[in-house]
Amino acid sequence: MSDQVTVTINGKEIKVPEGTLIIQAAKMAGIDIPHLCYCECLPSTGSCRVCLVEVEGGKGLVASCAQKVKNGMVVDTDTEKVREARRFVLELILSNHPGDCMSCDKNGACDLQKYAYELGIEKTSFSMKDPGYDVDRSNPFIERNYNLCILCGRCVRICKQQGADIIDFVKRGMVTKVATPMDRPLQESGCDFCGSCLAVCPVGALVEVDRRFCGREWEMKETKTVCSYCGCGCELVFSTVDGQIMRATGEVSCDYICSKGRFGWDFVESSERITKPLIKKDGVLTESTYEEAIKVVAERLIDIKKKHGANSIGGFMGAGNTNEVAYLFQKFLRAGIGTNNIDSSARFLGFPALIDLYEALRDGAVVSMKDVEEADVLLLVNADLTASYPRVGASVKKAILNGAKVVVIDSKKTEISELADLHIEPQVDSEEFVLSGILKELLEENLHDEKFTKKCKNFDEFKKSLDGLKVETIEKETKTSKDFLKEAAKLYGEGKKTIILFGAETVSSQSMGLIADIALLTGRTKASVLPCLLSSNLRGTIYMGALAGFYPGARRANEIGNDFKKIWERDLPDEMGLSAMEMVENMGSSVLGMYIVGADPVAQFPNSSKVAKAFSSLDFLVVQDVFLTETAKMADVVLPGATLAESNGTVVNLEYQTKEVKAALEPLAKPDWETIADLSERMDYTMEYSSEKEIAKEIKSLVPIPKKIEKNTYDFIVVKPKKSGEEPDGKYPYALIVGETSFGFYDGQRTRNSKLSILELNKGNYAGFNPEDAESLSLKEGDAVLISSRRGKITTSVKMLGSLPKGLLFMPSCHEERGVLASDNVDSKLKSPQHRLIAVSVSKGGASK
Amino acid sequence: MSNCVCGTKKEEKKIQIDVDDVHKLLKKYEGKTGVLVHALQDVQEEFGFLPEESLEVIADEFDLSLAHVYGVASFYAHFYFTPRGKNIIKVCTGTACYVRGSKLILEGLEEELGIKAGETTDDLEFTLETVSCVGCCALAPVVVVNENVSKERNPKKIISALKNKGEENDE
Repeated sequence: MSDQVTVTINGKEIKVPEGTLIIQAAKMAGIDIPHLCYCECLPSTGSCRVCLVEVEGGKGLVASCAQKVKNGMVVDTDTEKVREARRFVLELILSNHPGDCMSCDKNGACDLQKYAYELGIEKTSFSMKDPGYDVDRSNPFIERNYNLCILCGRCVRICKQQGADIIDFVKRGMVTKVATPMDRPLQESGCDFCGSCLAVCPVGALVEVDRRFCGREWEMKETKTVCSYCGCGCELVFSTVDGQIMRATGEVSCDYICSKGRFGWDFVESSERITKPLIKKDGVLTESTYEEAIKVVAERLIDIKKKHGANSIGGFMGAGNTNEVAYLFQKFLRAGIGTNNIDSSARFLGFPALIDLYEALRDGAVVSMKDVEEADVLLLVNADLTASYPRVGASVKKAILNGAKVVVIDSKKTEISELADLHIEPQVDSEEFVLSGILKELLEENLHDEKFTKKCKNFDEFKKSLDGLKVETIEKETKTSKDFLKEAAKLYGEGKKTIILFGAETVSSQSMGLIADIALLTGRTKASVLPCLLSSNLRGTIYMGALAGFYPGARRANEIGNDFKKIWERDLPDEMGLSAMEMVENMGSSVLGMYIVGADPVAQFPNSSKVAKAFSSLDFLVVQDVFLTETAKMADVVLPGATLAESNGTVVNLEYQTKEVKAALEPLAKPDWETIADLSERMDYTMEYSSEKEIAKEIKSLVPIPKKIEKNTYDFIVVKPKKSGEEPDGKYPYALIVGETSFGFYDGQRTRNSKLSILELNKGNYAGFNPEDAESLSLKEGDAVLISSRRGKITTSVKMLGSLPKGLLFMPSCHEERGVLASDNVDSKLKSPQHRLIAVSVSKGGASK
Repeated sequence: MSNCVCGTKKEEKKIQIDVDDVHKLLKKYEGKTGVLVHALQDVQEEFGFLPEESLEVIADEFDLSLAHVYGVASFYAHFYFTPRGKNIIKVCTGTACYVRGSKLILEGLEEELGIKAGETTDDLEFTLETVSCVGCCALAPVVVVNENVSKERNPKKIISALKNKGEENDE
């Protein structure tokens, strides 16, 4: 290859690509050059001078992290001259590093210590200077001791690259320091607490507060597993000492991990965890033994089944359990109990994205983070990436740094929209019109792929439907000029590698259809649409069949024939099964017993007061969860659940990659699958598995998760755009949307029990107002406010959010009472409530919590 | 952008500024790069120091991070982040002045004003600073009052002269 050059390092000849840095070339040759400021994933600054090497024929020593190789270059990394220089540099650094290795948590993992030791430096020969800075212990996540800082600048660079860009060097000379603007604490400086700075700090200046004095580096046991928060499914490495988590990091120090991944795991160690089974006796949940609890549940369920039939029992689970648990749970209900009444949170979190969209695009809807980073045009639809799916947000930021153009369609401002080339801020709930408008403009500007569309047999029908939609209608509904739509169409249409990203739980299924159409119209059928998923195993939960109407393999219940009957050795119910909201509807009448795993329907389902009433009319309710949720409080029996950090198995992330979950800690009680299997055993449906691996084997034999499926013929999805939320009116003049926040997550169950909650106003129990709206209602930050919808009312606190347009209110999804206001109007086809937009009224006052 | 909340400068140390003024100052730098220090100088000339809000405006206008703007500004000893007094008194503590007793002058001024070197009085009348040499060692010990080398070395008299001058101006 022509772009290869030959260099000799320490007498070893090696061919490396042109443009390689000496330090990288040395690494390829298996030679490690000591370095402090250099970091593989960051631009070099050549500031620490520890990586000095000798280059034959060169003047003086060169910094190997800043110098690129040249053909024929002869480099020596370990001569006496080099060592002497390094010693000198290290002694200078040490003269300003009044560290006490004895009590430093980095002891054993500190690069400065390592190199000083390697070069035999006992003490610096310069006079020591103690900078005398106060140690910043003002936040419970990152301890900042700048007395130990060696000013390598890695934290500054990584904060710019993947953090909030809030630190830099300040002042100069001996008093230079890394600081935030005005040297404020991190929590007052807009820090997003991704902790990337912690991961790259080579010394003890930045240390996780959680591990301070709790365990030495060499005592740590590392377990590679998957984060339990959003659907990004980032790989996490938990370091534990004596069964206690010390820290969570990425596999490589530079890997981006969001605040929830890095610091939000502490809910696992919360004192609020359920550790023992509880049985309701005289109206009070009382601790009992595992055996007794299982016995009671089995007896009661058998009793209900005997009296009222199997279909009087239903099951519901969250979408954050492993594939193995999801599979076993639906198997237990379908084969063990004999009902198809099984549903999951996937119903509420955008399952059409994973069934309909996947059917429409196949490979096209399978996109990796790497694809996102390499794209040249990104179109974001209703996706607050950095708050909801932070890893995707980081990839988009990286793409922007690489020069990608970004178009954002969102009624409110987001972190990414501020960086975007074009931000279309349509009237709330009019995305379908915006997307239709972009389709029209793509056609008008001749940016569609004619060769491809000719192959789609319903193109004419699709075009006719679009032609029927007037531009005036679009402009009226979206309150957006068609010029913006044209610009968006041009940016997207002219892009080479384009990806459309959207929040699966934030766009309507019609919008999803339109998004697929945009990709198809431009002939982009490979890795072109990425549905962003909120739950850690949304894909897996659906694929395992924990969704009414679908069996494992996402096979429709009416098309399975005898396949499952044979393997499960039981007759399977003929009915399609009730979806979540249908079960709620029928509670107390035809549905009498419920088994809930890892979900809190009473707090989560829309119109929660009605849901609570429905649950209270049940004959028997068993909840298996890690916390005493609102639903668990109503249960007759509560079984302790396991967190993902205590589980083994697999999950499927939003990239459609199957990831291995490994227990970093022992479960407090039992793994979830064992509890389900024990219960099944008691109900005379034997599930003999020695470990979750055997369940995985059974799944694999039944419905192996396909790698990728090619598709040859495509059809457009003909959509008549409409608004699907509640329209604000005279009585309820404001629109409210529920969404994710940076430090809250989904139902808040986990973040509320984590230190992260201190970073959200009132632990996320607030409503966000546009400052102008707040002024017209004479509301100030922190005021108590009464918000009412057609379903109910809540009192909460006011938070000013400049990111909101006038007339739109925002409520964090982790708000404890978010379900009270939402509408339970069910979309007849999806059987899932369309609760994105809620019409509300606002009045000042009420007792704020 | 127009939320003028100008406080009276004398009453409280925290000065609030009209960010519109900053935007006006930055107008001439539109579309230019490499002008950060110039912009900072302009803003300091207008307000006497660099108010935090002004740094935010600069960061926003120049599409830089606030951390970067603060990092650059803090590099130069010439930029100030707290309001400065109407009168700036600099006491030279260079070698010549020091041996001729400038420490006593400094201590006297500190006592007289009730502030330490590097601070500003609450009424924003006086800022007391030390300098390392002003280049006229023959006159040591030297006190520089508002850019003028002062002949006066009695702390009380330095202050009272400035106060009297201030009152005359007010009338």
